[in-house]
Amino acid sequence: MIRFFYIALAVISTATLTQCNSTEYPSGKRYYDAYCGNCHMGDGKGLSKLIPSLEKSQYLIHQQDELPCIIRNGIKSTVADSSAEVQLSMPAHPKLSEIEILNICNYVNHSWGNQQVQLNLEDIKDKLKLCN
Amino acid sequence: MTLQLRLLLTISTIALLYSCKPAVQDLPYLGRNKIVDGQEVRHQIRSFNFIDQDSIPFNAEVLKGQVYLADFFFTSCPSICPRVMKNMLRVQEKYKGTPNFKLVSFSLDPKRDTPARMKKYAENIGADLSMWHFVHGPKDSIMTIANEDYYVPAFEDPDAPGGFDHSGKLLLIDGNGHLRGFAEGTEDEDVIAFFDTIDALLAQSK
Repeated sequence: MIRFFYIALAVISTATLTQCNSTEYPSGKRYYDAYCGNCHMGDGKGLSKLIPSLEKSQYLIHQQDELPCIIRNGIKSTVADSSAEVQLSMPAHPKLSEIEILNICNYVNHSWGNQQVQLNLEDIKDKLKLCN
Repeated sequence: MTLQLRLLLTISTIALLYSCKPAVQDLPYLGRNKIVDGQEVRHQIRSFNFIDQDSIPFNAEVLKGQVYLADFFFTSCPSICPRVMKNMLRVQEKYKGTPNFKLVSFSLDPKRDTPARMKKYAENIGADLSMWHFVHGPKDSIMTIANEDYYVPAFEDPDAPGGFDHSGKLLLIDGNGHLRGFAEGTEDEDVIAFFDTIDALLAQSK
């Protein structure tokens, strides 16, 4: 009887712990929700063709060096179309600190099927020096 | 236990169960009524004359007899619009093919949101243009109907993201231009719960 009790206790505590640690990067999630989530959405899936999905993103893999600059300065690109010239852009977030950018990068890089190496503050500083 | 007591218990249980079941909503008429010639007149969306993403006239005639869900947006809006549009898409999926039901998105930024630009935006988000209209009109007129007719606070603000401050409410309008319900377009749960209100209005409108 006592054995069952302890097994139950172990199961419950494991379940609780798993729920508490739903992300390894809770600060990153907080900044993401505040600055990125309105467009890229809480599940990272974006909005159809208008806002790119970050889920298992090939773009993310190829843009690792530019990621901090993209978060800080946004993206401006013009897509020529037969009916209209449409500017697709991602807004800049010039007020985000290096630490905040670091947290967002690590959260995005380890969410929704993305698996990138964990970045540290020095990485972010180096990459930000290369912004255009 | 006497027979009467058992009977009473059964009946009261059944009555209780029935009282839990939500009644078919009798939807209210929202907005401030006006007094015209001594008569109280219900609040109604005024008649307007705009164009849609195909530069086709979009006016009261197009919406006559249609139940529709309206929102206010602009294509370069970086704050709440994508969330609201995601929920408009949710409504589109749910009510695809429903007769006499439309979605209407008014742009607050007609200077940048030309019909062609809105059409491209609509295609990018996956809007079904057979049921969804993107509306272009003079800025002052759109601002006026937003604030006074649809009760959506909207104004230009150079400090706001994208240059406009506005609410992400979704407004439900009946076939006679009366405002019958609203939901927070940024809140997924609120929009899903709002399906009941839309269903009720559609049922009443048949």
